[in-house]
Amino acid sequence: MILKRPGEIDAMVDAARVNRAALEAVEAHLAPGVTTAELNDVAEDVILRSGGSPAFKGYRGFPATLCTSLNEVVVHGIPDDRPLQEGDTVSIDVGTFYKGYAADMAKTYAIGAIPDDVQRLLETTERSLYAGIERATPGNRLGDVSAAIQDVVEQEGFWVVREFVGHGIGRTFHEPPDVPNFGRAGTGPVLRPGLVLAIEPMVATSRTSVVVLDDGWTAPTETGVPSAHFEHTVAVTEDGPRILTAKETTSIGEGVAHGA
Amino acid sequence: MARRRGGGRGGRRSNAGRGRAENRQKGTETTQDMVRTEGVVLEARPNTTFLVQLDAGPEILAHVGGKMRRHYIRILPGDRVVVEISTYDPEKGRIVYRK
Repeated sequence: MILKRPGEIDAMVDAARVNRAALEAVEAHLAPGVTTAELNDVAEDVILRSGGSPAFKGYRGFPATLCTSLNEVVVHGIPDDRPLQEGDTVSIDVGTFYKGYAADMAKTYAIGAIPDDVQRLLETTERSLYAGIERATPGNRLGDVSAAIQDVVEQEGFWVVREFVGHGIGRTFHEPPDVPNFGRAGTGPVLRPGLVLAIEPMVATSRTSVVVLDDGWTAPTETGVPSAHFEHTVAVTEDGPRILTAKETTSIGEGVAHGA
Repeated sequence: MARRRGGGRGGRRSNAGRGRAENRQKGTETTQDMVRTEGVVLEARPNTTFLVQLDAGPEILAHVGGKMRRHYIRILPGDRVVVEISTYDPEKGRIVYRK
């Protein structure tokens, strides 16, 4: 695990700000009929004009700036020419490198009206993210974060995806430790100030494994059930968790009430 | 972007072992009374055994071969694997190669 000095965390906030601007630009373009490839261009444009570079593009051969994951696709969907339709859910995941540091963030959006259980899936997943973030304080263990996420998800009867996990982040995009969204409280490494984590619960409505399609990326639920994915880049600080990718970058800025 | 579990270092470290398994595969079967077939891992079971759905249909319980253990080749549900099955007990097998 690589700990960051306070100055480095400030640099990561700058990266997170660019990253967030890209996501917000995409958010503003979400509508039925818009293709995910168009959204990808919007995000890439914002990142490049801000002087950053898209972190996903070229990462292990990923071809785009965004991961756009529709409906049953949990993560790592590749933007294409399929237009968004009323009733779709789409997870927008974006990463940026800026002045040597990385930021990573994702949100799942509903396009128009969606079934109640899918709406509840989105809300629960976001709530589990904040429950996990709350536990990211010095002295707690990584398992406390994982268990908090799992608790929220399973209380609603949903399923935590096991095949993919969050990760440490800093000068490189993925660094130790892995941040699973399931686990036992009181286990795992002790969290220390300066640790920066990409916490990202991935949740499906019922028990399922997640497969990877032949394109090497797109990861849908095997049973085809809907899934959701929310992510923040979070620094563990003396004063508690600091959500670098939040709107207000002081402590917990974006509450659960914010919604999707 | 999420990190895929079971990828990364563990996977790369195992490449030497994979190459050797590949060579072996081209040869004829090493042991008599063994059938070599392919399947998909359904589920991880206790004591590093796995439930494997054979392409031919049946589900069998398979453990990981010693050579694969030595090279830390990890098996996850969903992986395609080559399984050796003894003709004496067609319910059990040994995973000898991960695709």
